[in-house]
Amino acid sequence: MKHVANGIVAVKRTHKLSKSVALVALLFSLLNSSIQLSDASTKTSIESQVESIQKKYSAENEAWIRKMRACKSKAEESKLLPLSPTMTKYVPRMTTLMKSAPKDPGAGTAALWLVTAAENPAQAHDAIGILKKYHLRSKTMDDAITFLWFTRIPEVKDLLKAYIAQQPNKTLKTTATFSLAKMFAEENASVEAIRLFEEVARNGKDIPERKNSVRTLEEAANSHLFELRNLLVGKKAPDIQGTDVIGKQFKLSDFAGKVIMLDFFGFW
Amino acid sequence: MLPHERSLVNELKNKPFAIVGVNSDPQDKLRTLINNKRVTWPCFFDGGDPQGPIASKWNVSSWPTIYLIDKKGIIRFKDHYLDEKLLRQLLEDGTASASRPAIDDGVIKSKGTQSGK
Repeated sequence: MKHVANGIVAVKRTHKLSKSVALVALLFSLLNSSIQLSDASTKTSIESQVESIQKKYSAENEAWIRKMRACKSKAEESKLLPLSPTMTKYVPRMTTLMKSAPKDPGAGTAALWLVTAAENPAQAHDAIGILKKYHLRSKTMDDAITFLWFTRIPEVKDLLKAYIAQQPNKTLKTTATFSLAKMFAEENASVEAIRLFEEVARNGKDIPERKNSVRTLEEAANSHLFELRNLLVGKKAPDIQGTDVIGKQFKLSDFAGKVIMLDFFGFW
Repeated sequence: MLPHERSLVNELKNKPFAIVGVNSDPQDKLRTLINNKRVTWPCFFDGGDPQGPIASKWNVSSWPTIYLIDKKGIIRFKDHYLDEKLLRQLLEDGTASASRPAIDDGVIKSKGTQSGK
C-alpha cells in the first residue's frame, strides 16, 4: 500500500497527523467493505483461505488504528507511525493462492488485494493480468472501481479500460470512467483526462460520486474539468467572490498585485 | 499550521503579501478562531461545509490545500504544504514570473508595454 501511503504522507507532512490516520482508516474500510466474500455455503477453498489472510491483516490494522487514535501526543503518534502493519508478509501466500486457480473467485479477491499491497508497479503486474483475464465481470471488480485509482499504478488504467469496455451497466461504466480520468489527471495527462471527464459529465447526472455522497458524478466531473482548465500551475487564478464570517463581501482580486497564499483549511 | 501562518503574516507585513483563507468550518467555530486571534488574515466563510461552494468549485478534496499566486495573478504552486522557499522567491521578484529571466521583465517595463493589469 505504499503508493497510497505516499499520498497520505503529503497530507501528513503539514500538520494533521490525526487526519492522515483517519484517511488510512477510511481507505481501509473501503477496501474491507468492498471485498465481500460470498456466503459460507458456496465458498471455494481458495476463497476461504484468502478470507482468513484478509481477516488476519484486518485485525492487525484495526488494532494499530485504535492505538493511533488513543495517542495523546504527536510524539507518541510519531513513534507508532512506522509500526503500521504491512501487507508485505502476506504477499507470497496470496500470490500462491491466486496462481493456483486463477479463475476461482477467490483468486480475483486475492489479485485485487495484491494490487493494493504492491510496493511498486511491477509487483502488481501479474495480479492485474489475472483480474483482466478472468474477473472483469465480478462483484470484486464492481466494488473496486471506486478506489483502485488510489493505487497510482499506471497499469491499473489498462484494467479500468478493459472493465469499461465490457461493462453494460451505465452506473458502473461511468464510475469506472471517472476513476480512469482521475488517474490520467494525476499523471498530468490533461488531454485524455479532459476527454474522459467530459464523458462522465454527460453520463453522470443521477449517479452519486460515492456511496452516500451528495455530489453527483456529473458535478464532480465538472469540478475536475474546471480544475484542469483553470487551476493548473501557470494558469491565471480565477477570481473568488464570497463573504467573510460576518457576512462582509470581498474578492480574491482585492489582493491583486500581491503574492497571495490561498489557503483552503478547516478543523471540522 | 496556524501559528506558522500567523508568524508569516507578522514577518511579511511590509511585503506585498497576503494570506487569503477559504475556511470550511461552521460559522461559530471560524468566528472563535478569528476572535481568539488564531486566524489573523482575511478568510472566506465557505458555508461551514468541506463541500462548500468555493472548495467544490476549486475541486479541493484534501486539506489543507495551498495555492501560491504571484503578483501577476498566475498560479505558481499548489499542494498540501507551503513551499516557503518559492514564496520568498516570488516576493523578491520585482515583477512576474521567475521562469523568465529578470532582465526580460526589465525590458518590457522600460518599453512601457506592460499591460498594467
